[in-house]
Amino acid sequence: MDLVTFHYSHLPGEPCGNQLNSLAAHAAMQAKAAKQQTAPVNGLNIEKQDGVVRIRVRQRMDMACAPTLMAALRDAVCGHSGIVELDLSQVPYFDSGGGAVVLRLGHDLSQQGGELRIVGANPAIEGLLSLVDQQAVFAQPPPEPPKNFVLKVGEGSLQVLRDAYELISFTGELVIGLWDAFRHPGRVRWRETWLYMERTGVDGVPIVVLISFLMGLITAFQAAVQLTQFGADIFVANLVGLSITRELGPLMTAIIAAGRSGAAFAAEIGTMKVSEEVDALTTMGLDRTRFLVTPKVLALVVMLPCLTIVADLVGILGGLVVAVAGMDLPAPVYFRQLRAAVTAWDVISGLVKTVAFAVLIAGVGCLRGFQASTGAESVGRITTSAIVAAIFLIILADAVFTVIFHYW
Amino acid sequence: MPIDVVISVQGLTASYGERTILENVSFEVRRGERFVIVGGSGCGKTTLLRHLIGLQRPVAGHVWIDGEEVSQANEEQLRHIQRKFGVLFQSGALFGSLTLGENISLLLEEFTNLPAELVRLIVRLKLSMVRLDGFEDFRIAELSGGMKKRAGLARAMALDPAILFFDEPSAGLDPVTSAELDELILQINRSLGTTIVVVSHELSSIFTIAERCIMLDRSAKGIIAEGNPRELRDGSPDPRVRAFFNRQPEQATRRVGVGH
Repeated sequence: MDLVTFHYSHLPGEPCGNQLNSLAAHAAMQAKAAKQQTAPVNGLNIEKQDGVVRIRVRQRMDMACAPTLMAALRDAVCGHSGIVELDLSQVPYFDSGGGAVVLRLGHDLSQQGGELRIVGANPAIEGLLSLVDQQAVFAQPPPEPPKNFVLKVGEGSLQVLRDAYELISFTGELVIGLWDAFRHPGRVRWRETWLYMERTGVDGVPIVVLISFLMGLITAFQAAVQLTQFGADIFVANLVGLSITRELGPLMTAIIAAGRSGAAFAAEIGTMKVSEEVDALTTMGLDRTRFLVTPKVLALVVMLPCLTIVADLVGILGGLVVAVAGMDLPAPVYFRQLRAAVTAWDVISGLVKTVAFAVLIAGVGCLRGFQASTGAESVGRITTSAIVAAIFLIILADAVFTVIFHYW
Repeated sequence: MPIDVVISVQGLTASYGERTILENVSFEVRRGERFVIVGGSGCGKTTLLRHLIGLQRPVAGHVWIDGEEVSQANEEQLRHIQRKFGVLFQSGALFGSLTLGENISLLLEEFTNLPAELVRLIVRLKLSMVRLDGFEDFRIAELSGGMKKRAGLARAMALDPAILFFDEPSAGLDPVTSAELDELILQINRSLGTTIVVVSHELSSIFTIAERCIMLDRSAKGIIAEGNPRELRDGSPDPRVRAFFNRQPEQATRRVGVGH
């Protein structure tokens, strides 16, 4: 009978093959264990008798010592194909960490033709192990069939077609909804529309004022540096007036609205979709466009031009500040030059654009909202997508308008 | 506090602003017990639970869990206490952006130093405990209502808590699934010795799970009965309690007297 009892902490290295095995690996493992601050293994009695390995555990088997314990136990039964008796009668504490170690050991042994017998388990340990279906824990899920190129291309194309279909049908719904609102103004949900007007318009005034004032300031300042070189200081009014009313005012306001209102519409409808409120609306026989989309689009179509007028005025004031404070131009001179340079058409063409921007922002926000699938994550995704798509469409539409107005 | 008492509530008063929900509520839960908080809708069951798990602070009174006071704990102490229990929320509250397995391994990776292999094994062990073997790579949206509850239970048990809280475990489940979940709760209590605290108004669940229950009442703003639910059903002197456990409308007797 060869009987070896040892404590794991103080042993020199030896190669794998008998029960005193792989201690080099064990030392490395202990070094790693120290780094991870896991508890050391110091309560294992391992003895080998007549081809049976008896392991008595005299320490906690919890999540903290599971890594080291598992490595030590694996070493102890490495290559063993007979019976291993695991005595758990002296384990003071046992949790799922211990459970995982025992399961893993049993699985390893059965793989190498051995068998694990657990003796002396108290009711708590037995209870924990009895809840687990050992075979199922180690069952490998069937691998998913790999997708080939044709399949991927097909799926991608179908997705593009579905998106296009959704876009076209939503655009149709939107047009019909707006036409309906135009023909039967009484059927529009005015209470919601007023609410959205307040949220998209009035609540947005401070940020629009701040940003357009700074835009006017920056434009005038950049212009001043160039214009003073030629003694053409007075033309700062032309430059600020035209760039603000034609481009910067409408564009900055639209981008702010995309971030504020487009995102809000997408998140609101998306959350309604996730919590099945949209489904409830549809099953009650109510038109989702009339209830959810038209009020938002109408509100933004009315409010975005209003915000743009504010932005135009404040932007021009920003230019005035630079002209007066930085270039010693008197305010009346600035305004006279401005009146000569900026025509009503400049302002109106800017406002016309914002009507289109408003439809795009609100429409894309609502469309993305309806595309939410399930869960908080999808709401985040569609909101991001709503803003990005809205900004892209704004710039695109602006380019189209520039061309149209040029050849008008 | 005696050793075998694991949750102790003393003189708890809870209110939302001006509206007082619970007044001077006191009770104790023993280690390893299956304890159910029952009562009609709006009686403050969920409010009481939120106070127990430290999501809300009482206006007055004390809550101790395993000898540590929840009601006075600072953030850090509270986090320490919260490691001792797991909570199964009404809808499961699983993170939709993660897979089922990741929902559980999240906790193991945050709070332990286990290597990936063992984390995976413990995740499978937990899923096996709630009979969800092989579902670890599923997304939450792909699970049915009953599976979500069990998955939430597996996540609540991830760190082997000594106490498990359940908020309406049978809400939204069919009778069979609900009975299976009750059975699972019993098994976990018996096998692991976990203390079980359930908030429920589902009679079949209450009779299956509860060793002892307290009944809250909206107008009394507190406990109107305490004991074994079967004994309360058969022998409570309070007509409100008998009506609840016998599933009768409270005014039944009065209505019969007037009408016929």
